[in-house]
Amino acid sequence: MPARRSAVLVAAALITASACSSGGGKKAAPPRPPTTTTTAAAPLKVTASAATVDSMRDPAPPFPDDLRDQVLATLTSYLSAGIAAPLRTAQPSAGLDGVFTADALARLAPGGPDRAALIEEPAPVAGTVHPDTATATLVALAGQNGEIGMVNANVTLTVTATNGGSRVQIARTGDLVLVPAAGGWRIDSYDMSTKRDTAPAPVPSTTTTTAKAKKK
Amino acid sequence: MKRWFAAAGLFLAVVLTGGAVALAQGQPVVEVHRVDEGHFTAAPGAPIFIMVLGVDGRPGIDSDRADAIHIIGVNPAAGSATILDIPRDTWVPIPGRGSSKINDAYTFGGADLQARTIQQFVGVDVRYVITTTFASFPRMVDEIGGISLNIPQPMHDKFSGSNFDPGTRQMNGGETFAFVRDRHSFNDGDIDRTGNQGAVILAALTRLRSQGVTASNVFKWLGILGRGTKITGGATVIDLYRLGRLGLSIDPAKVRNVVMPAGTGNVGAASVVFPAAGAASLFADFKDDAVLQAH
Repeated sequence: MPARRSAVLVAAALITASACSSGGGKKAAPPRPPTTTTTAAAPLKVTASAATVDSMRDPAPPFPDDLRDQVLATLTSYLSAGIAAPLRTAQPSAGLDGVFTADALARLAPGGPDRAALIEEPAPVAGTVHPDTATATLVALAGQNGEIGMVNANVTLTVTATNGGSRVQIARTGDLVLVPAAGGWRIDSYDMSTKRDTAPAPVPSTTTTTAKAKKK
Repeated sequence: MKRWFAAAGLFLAVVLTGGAVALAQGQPVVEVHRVDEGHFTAAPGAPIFIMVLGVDGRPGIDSDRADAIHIIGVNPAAGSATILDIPRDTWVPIPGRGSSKINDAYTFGGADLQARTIQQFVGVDVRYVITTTFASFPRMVDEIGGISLNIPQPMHDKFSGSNFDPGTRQMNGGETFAFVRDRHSFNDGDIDRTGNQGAVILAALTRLRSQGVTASNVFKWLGILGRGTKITGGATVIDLYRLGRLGLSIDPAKVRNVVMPAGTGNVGAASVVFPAAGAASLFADFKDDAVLQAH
């Protein structure tokens, strides 16, 4: 993989430079040749920027770690299956059964009234889909028994899809409300908006890096 | 495009205001009682009826009575609602108890009997019963930032603590509390007061909507509601959330606040209220779709 090879070269250069400078006193490190790296697509994963609880009793319980992980897993599945996959494969989204409740799925089916608000439709094969931002601010609602019954995820999900000379950045933002269902946490309701920004694709993603030796 | 499919209760405004008719000194209580076991789902076209009770129970009072009775009918498809205010002294048949003042039903059999009494009297299928006492009432009003109310006439009453001149004014929790308690400033006493309670429900709805109906805000408002209150009857957090969304989706301009036509009289030594001419047709107009077309 070119990117990895380049990274190894850079690391090797750094190590070499460091080794040279460590024992060489004032001897200058040899100039480093420019190296070229390519940017690998970041993994599709939604992360939490905050997780708090609104409670119908005092004191509010903490936001459980395992709940946070389950909710983020559902959001990540949504990002992957509902947004990225149709762009990458030019096929309709699949695998949403474990993401949405049955009621929500009914409205998100092809031709459903809310589909455009949440689901990406197949486009000419995008080639690459890069997640720019995938964050969620989580707020749970706990009842008077202290049990958390709902979670709202205020999300910012932005991806850039590139195909040859064209590029589109798709930003889906808003609220996804999750409820317990089928042993997990699924999206039951939503208030989302979508923004698309098209622009020519940039020059192929190469960067030039000049390695610098650390001085001790 | 923004969409919400999980509509969901005049509930917040209702609970914040319903039943504020007597000064409670004990623990604040809000009971949400689901009359049947059916799970609420948004059903466009199908009206939903919620009964809101204010119970005067407090330490030193042996038997609770429902001194504020409001039936909220919501029509999700029309985006409309009606608040039907029932005077507490209305003389009605109570299932299994003969005839009595309508607020005695709660004393006899709690929320269930009160609901059955209302269902028999008005003819609506009450889906939920929300019962409040209100030690926390002023605090909850304060926590939503107060409400704006129109004072219909001079209100200066030492019993309730009201001291208002006519006009629109911003009210804090304590002032609102006095407003909904005052019956001595009005010729028709509790008949007028129950209408004022309905007006507070509308004002609270307006206030909440002005802050933006988002999932986060609804969570916050349910938290305000729940803290310091007691909710029983099986309504889940999801039920409450959906009810809240439904109610908050309705423009206050499309909510009618109507007091049951009534006149006063006596049964023995008791001063009571009788349904007046027009009450039956009002109920019929109300129960078919929760929207008043002929009144």
